[in-house]
Amino acid sequence: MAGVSLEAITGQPSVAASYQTWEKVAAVLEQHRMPPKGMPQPTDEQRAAAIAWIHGELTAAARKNEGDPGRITVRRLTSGEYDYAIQDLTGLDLDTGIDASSDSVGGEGFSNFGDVQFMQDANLQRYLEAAKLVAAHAVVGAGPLTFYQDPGKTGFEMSAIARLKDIYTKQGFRTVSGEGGFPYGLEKYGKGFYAAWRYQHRAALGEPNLTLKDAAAKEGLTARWVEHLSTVVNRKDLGYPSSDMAARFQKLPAPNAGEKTVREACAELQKTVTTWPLWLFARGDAAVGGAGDESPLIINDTSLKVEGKRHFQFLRGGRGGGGGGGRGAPAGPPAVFINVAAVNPTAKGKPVIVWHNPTIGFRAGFGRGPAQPIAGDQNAADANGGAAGAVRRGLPPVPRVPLREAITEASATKLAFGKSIDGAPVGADDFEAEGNVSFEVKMPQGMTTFDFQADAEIGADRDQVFRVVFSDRADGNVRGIPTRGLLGDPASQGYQAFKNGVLELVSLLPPNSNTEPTPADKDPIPLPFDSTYNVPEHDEFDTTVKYIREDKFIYDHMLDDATRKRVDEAWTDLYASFEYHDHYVKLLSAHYKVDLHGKHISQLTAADLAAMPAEARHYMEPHIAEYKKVVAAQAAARPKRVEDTLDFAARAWRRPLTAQEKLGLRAFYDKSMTVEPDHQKAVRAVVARILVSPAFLYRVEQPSEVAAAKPLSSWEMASRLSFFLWASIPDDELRRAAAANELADADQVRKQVKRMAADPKARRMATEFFGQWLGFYHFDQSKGVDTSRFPEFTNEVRESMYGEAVSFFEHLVRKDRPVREILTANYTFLNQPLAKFYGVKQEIKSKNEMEYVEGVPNRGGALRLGAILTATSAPLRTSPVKRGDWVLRRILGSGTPPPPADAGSLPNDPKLFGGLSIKQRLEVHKRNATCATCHLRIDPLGFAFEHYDNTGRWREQYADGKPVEDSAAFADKTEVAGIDGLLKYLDTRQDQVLKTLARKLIGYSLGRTVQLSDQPLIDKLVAEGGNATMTQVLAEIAASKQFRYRPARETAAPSVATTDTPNRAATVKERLPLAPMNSQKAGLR
Amino acid sequence: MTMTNFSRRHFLRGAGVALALPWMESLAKAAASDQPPLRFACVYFSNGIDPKRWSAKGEGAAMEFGESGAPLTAIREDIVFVKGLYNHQAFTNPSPHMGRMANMLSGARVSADPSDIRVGTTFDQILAKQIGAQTALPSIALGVEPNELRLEDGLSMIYGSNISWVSPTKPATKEIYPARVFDALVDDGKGRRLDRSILDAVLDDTHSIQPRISGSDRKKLDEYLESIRDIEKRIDRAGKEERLEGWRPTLAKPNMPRPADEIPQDPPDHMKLMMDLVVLAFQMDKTRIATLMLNNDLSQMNFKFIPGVRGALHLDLTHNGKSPELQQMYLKTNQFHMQQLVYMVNKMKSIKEGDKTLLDSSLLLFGSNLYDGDAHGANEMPLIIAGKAGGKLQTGRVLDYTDAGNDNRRACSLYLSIMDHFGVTLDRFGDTDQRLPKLWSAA
Repeated sequence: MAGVSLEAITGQPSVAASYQTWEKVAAVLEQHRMPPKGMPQPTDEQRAAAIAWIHGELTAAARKNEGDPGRITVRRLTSGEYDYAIQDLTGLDLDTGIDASSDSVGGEGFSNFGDVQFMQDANLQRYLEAAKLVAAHAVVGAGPLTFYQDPGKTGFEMSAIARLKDIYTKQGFRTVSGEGGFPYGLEKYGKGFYAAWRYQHRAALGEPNLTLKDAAAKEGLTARWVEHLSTVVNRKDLGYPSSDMAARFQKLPAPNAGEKTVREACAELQKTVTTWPLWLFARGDAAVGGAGDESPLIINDTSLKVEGKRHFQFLRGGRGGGGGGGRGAPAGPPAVFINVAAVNPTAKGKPVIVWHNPTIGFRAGFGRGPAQPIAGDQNAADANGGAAGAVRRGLPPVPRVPLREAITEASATKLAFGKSIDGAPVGADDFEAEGNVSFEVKMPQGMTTFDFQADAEIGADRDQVFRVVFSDRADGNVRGIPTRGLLGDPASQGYQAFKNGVLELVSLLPPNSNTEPTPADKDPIPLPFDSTYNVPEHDEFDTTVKYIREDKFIYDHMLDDATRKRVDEAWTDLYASFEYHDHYVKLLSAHYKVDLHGKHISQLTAADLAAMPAEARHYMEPHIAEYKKVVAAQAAARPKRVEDTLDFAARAWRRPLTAQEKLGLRAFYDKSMTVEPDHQKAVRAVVARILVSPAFLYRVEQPSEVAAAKPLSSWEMASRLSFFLWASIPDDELRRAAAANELADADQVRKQVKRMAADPKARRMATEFFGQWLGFYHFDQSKGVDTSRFPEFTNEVRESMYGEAVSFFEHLVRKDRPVREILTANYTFLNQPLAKFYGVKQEIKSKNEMEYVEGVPNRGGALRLGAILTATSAPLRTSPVKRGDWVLRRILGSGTPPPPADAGSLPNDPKLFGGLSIKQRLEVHKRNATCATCHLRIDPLGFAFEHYDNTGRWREQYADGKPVEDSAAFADKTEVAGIDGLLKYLDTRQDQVLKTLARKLIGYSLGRTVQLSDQPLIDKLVAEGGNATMTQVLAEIAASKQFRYRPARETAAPSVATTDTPNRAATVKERLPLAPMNSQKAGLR
Repeated sequence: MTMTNFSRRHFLRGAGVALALPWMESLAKAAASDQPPLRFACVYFSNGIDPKRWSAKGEGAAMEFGESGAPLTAIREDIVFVKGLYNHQAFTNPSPHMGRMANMLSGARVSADPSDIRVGTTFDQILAKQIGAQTALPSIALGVEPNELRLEDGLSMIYGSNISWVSPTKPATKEIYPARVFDALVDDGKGRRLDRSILDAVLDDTHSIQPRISGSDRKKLDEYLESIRDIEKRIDRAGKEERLEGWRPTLAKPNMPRPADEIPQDPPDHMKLMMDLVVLAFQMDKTRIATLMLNNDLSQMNFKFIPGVRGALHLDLTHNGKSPELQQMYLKTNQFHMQQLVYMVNKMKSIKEGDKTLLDSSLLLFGSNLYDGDAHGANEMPLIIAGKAGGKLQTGRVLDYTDAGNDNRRACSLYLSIMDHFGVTLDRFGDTDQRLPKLWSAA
């Protein structure tokens, strides 16, 4: 008890100033530790009277000033709070460079204690750099100010494209795309149909007041989309195949069929709608998922062009064949299967195709022949309408054999060469077929495969439209791009109607809601450019222009108004983030060989345009117009972005801005623009400036203007709450409550606490409060274990151990557990690496994330957390003294003084204990009476942990094979054995434990040391017992006067007066009921 | 080299109180001489020495050392081996570590109140306040280990992480990132326009907050204001070329590449790099006052980078339970520390400034706050001084104050003497008002 001077404290006018010393005096008197044995002792009555008097005085003084907010020195944000505030402001997890080196610990043991914080130029320099770094991540464009993970110019572009992709993916759908694109969002059809159905049958379903909007919202869809679907399926004027789709909708089950049945039927309809176009273009299974067929699905006037007569060439075993899927003779008899589907239902006659001039060319292998103009497939990516001059390598020519001579007898009979079915002219070597065709070929010696060629023509009924797909498998399966095509008479009405019908379907119920804004290599690029794969113009487009906007469908029929705005803003930003339109125009000018004389798009005049060929002008003008729109939009957005910085400041500074401050920020922007007219830079400068302001870095609270404590303002309360529970700035809901002045009401405060404690951000209490209180703060970076001796203590294990502790306390807070579970919880959090390290038998599913696990032997509660067990050890061995001290100090709230300088020490390496166990070593130590006083208090608590080694693992014996001794005795000979014993012991001291928790929470939440006037609050919390829940305790503190009030105006510090003024307060000495205990003074020093 | 003496008036506030003196324009002009300026550096190693092997006797080329000092043989003619000096407040402080490091260079008492961080302004910072205005950086405080956040014996590890204190309550910011030190040395103030305008703006913010807050809070924000002004001053000075006449530094631009942004993985590399940066700073005359902590107090750094050594410096090697094997390793760490001094001395000796070397114009103070590391002995400190201090210091001697009587062997006497030589004359510093006899020469 060194350092206690009774003389000094009895000379004070109140016990309050040195109340902790007075408490100690009462405690040592109670425990008969003072006066020490051998010194004159007071009588029992005297002892009791002194103790009672002290307690009485303390209680009276506490009650008198109950709830005094106390003096709280203004605090700077700690490094943790700074990072969390930046996270909450920007939505990003940035490495700001503000680390714990600028923190210090004080008060009740936390870094948010203002008195020990300091600021100097090097700190401020770091804050300056951090602020500029954060500001570099600001996205300053057409939309509201946000932050993106990539900074600067690149970030601006990336942010825009990320926003677009996010919107399209969430709100749109895709059946197929080129090169590895996977389908998504198709359930929007199914759910949309269901919503439309529900709305249509709302009366029968008993929901007559159901709105379309609500039906849509229930499915997570926009009203606009369901409206669109609803309109389409109820139209009477649709052509085929849309009419077919609508009819199927109308045939959906009746309301009494039950939701499940209807939903299944809607899913079927969805499948039909989305697969029909694929089927028409013979994309088959390969198309969905893009495996094999990397060409995008293009359905337009051009890809739907047909000829009445069409040449087909099918190579058996080549690409576009069946089985082999590549080069190689397929299995089975050499046969060809032609799948023919008549797709125009309005055609009345027989669906017949005349196969003119069919021939076979036998081959020994698969050599490559001379280049030939593209024949056949017009849905390949390299034929966006069949660009002039495109070529493809064909097959080397071989002698051709008429089909009728090359096939088997049976096949020939089947085909019935020369016979006409519908009266159309058929040559002798030709055949006509209605529907599918197949034949088997007689392979000559030495030949491995063959190709089939023929000219297919529509039969007599000119309205017929056919879908033709070749395969060398009976089941018609095709891998990769098949040999396929559409056959029809472009002059016929029937065909026209059919084509229009397909285009109608695609415009009303498309397979994709929009084009990919970042097209893949093989995707087409807009006209007039050459979409051929791998030609210079296509490459140039992809590398300089990069993006294509084709989102009319999703924009018109799916997005709600707010999202439309965001899409437009994102496109504006994307166009503005680099010279999009200028590149586009340059590409056009190169394509049309127009000389722009090096002009930028902004410099093109009407004369320049007039000088261009008409076609060039036709393409240029829209881009010039769009460029001007973009420039105008960005310019119009500028003042809005400046205003955004004011909102940002209000959030960062945790309060509304004064008019003066607003003017100041705007002026800062203006000044920056004067020095360098770069809007983005200037906005970023304002953001940086906001983050260096003391209004951000410091938690400023105004003192009361009168000599009494007054309630804090709403905004100050909001900050106190958010820093208490989230170590960061208030969220929107708290700000709303502050603006509505709700936080003056204690019940509202409790409500907010409840909400906030459940929020994911409350996880921060686990690190900032529990971590600092219990000593595992920053454990993930600890180097306290000698990993050369314990290589199994890897970084992964250490981080997992930290995760265990953090997740445990997060759980306690967010799930509102009783506070007793801090010690007695029977659950913990493990992942696979940690479970393996601990030797846990239970199966843990999670590889990385911490998983809640109950009933793990020897785990659960703070005393058994690996992080704490390790942090209270030495690098090579356990330290019962350290652990005992931890329990005393952290859990029981009573410290021991430091050991004397010459106390000596135990060797770090247990191998040097000279064969003694650690208990035996410490026994030797304790024979010395001076050492015994403390060690008899410390050791029993620390030895209880001995079964856990210095890395937190359970052990049955020491490294030398001797069994673990985990019990030790107190001075009064009571023993504590193991953690269970320790928990029992702590249970008998529950009040003391609760008191410690209360003190720590008060110290952390208020940022000051606990003072006497906090005693009633502490008593209240202790009285609620260990079954009180975390939220209850947190709410109690937040609703207390200490938390909600600001301190009285500061007066000069009262002096410890001893002069004889008439009304002076009696000193403590004078009020003591007993004669001064002079004779005992020496003992207490 | 001489400096104009300042009137006592300037120093009446005494040591241990924050001295917020204005930048003295006149100083800059007064320093125009054709001799290299005086430099001071303190290099600190932690965890003391093995007393049985720590000794020196003899003079000049005949000086001999105990085993720990063996590496010093290479530089014996350039050093003064000092025995017996101590800080009374360190010796009497019950906390064996936290009470004995932060006050090594101030002799002040370390506060026992966990809620009050307080020790004393160290003498290097007093020098920096006086002469620091003549250079771009008043001083630099370097280290190899970051400030540690935990409590040790109930007191903040801030006391074990900082050897330089600008005021009793504020340590000098210690820089452990070599790249940041380098950048501070080459900063020419250009491209700081945005910083200036941000600082001006937040200065206004602070002025408008000040009237509305309590007195004690105002003091905290004063620190913030001071920081703003310090940075602004530094930005302003960074671009100025102050020397219009007289001596010029031999280096205008660094002669080493910019270090990588990250902390070097290998501690000896890190230590060496920091020593190089001190030397560079002196050579470029960016500062004349430097401190460097090779380790924090009670460092747990694993010294396995020394062949034959394995273990944490503090818990394994210093508190070695007298195991012979570990004592050998501890000895090797002591020798390793000596080798760092040898490296620095030789490097400074190799740099020519006119007809003198950089070492000739410097005074290096090398040592630890504890003597017997295992027993946390603070009855004396192991100290070595190197360099000629501009010609005043006679090197190649052993000074032993062990038996001089407690009042006559205060480390603060050494500090007062050093400060005198730099032209900063105090009545009293730390726990004494006496200078150290026989320091400068045998005569």
